[in-house]
Amino acid sequence: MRRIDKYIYSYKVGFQSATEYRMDFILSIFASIFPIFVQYFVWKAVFSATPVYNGYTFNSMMLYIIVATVVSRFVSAGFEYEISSDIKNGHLSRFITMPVSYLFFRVFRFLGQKIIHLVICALILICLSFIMKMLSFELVYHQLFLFIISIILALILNFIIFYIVSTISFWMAEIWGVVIALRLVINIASGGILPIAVFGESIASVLNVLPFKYTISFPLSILLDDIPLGEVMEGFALQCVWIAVFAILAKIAWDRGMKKYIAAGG
Amino acid sequence: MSFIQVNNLKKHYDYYEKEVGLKSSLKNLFYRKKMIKEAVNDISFTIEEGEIVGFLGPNGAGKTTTLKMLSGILFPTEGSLSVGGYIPWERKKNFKMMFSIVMGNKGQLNWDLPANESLFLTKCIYEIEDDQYNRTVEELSELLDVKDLMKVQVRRLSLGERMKMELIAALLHNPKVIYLDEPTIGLDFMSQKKIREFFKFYNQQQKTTIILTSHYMADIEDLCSRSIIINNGKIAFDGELKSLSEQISTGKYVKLQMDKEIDESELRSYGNVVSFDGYNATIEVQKQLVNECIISILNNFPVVDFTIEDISIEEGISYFYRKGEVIHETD
Repeated sequence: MRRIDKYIYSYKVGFQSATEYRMDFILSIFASIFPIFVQYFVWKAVFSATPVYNGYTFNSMMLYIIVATVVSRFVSAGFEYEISSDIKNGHLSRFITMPVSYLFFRVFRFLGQKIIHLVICALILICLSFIMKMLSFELVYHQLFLFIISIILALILNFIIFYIVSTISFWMAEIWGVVIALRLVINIASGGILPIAVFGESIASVLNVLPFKYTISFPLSILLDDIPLGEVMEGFALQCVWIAVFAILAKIAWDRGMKKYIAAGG
Repeated sequence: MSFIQVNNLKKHYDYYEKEVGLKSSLKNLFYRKKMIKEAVNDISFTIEEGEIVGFLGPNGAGKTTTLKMLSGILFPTEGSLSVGGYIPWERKKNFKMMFSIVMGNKGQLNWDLPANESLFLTKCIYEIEDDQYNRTVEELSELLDVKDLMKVQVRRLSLGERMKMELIAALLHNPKVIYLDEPTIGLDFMSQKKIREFFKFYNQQQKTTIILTSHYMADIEDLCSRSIIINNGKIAFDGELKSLSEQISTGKYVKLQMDKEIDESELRSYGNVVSFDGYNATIEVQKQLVNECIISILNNFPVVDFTIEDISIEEGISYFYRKGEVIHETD
């Protein structure tokens, strides 16, 4: 009996649930079209006054916003409430009494879901690029291969960040509001809504030091900005460093939480 | 060293109190009084390998909390505890491989899947070899008489059938120790009996150590050679249930039925009047005095019928339940 079999099982469960809820995922992407519409008119007004704003033209800005919306949906975790309910309702007890790791269970389930999400996001991006070409946007996709590597690292980093966010459940019974707020703040800090440069130099310099930009902004800059290879490599290294740092934090938070766990019910 | 060793184990929970109403909700926003519940308060015992021990106690006495500490789900506030040489809350893999916990009110099976699918997942989790898995499932489903139900969605099974499936899932990896938290809760008399018989047999065959909590006396009387009564987080009694009545009283109950109403005070000279309603009375009488009392009572009162009984196990237990409360009130 192989040790990995139990996790392959949870991978399949994740795959199945993502297949089951594929429409939910697709609709959540289409729901983000409306904020893009709002942004479209705002930026139209801005760029009517100046052709270039913080290094962006109207076209490159819209391109960033649209691709960022899809990418941020792709790297999103979305398991915070599931973990919260496992903690609140005492399902976590099962993972304590049985020889199966909760982290690996979550990782494999996450991977199972992301395979489906990958297919959906890729299809949407391909469709979008056709539509935008028809709308006479100039599209320059650089270094697609490096982009894919950065996206994989971004996925891991984002998983760990939200794995830490989920541990709030050990201390708070209801994390709905906290999660909504954190998702939004982290998304903005990641460059998931607007390019980080837009926030002005002082805020951008802070966001550039924070780890969040490595989940969305950095992969997008590889794809859209044609940054030099040296910078890409440096970015990869920093992604790995942040993954290591957050992995340690996650371990600490999770161990502390487990001591606090009260195994409610039964 | 004993198989299970528990020394001065304590578990305290923090909680907050809130009065009814909006006003106190607002008050709680700014100040909450922190309360501490002593769910388990300084208990010690040892259990040998192969023993079946019953945990008895009223609701909220600390039985489940103790089981959760024995299985490593909860960290104790104080005290030490070892099971088969392992410290449960270190949650070592080898420890997880040698025990099982079954909660009567919370199963591990997925209700949407047929039982055999859930069992297969359990097999994967415990890394059980195929042939051992097939053999165990065959054997246990035969013993528990659920062979035809393996492919049925768990949702469609009756409460008793579901519990049997839970038991199979819990025993797949052949654990050395099993914790059963009210395994017969909500089951009918026949199903309870079947599950008891099964555990009796299983314990003899496998020499598995079993700790059982239940509110059904029959479960405990039938299965457990030894019982531990827990009340208010403390051990009130530890020993054979049969010796329980001797421990609490050297008396017997004399139950009388009168055909005329009498006065309670007249009976007091014979012993402690346990219950009285004018026509029926129960008196606790010292064992060596029973004969004299009966003769005297028959001569002096209009007795229609009488019986002499030992104090029953239930009454003995409720004595210990009450005793715990008294201790709690005075300290």
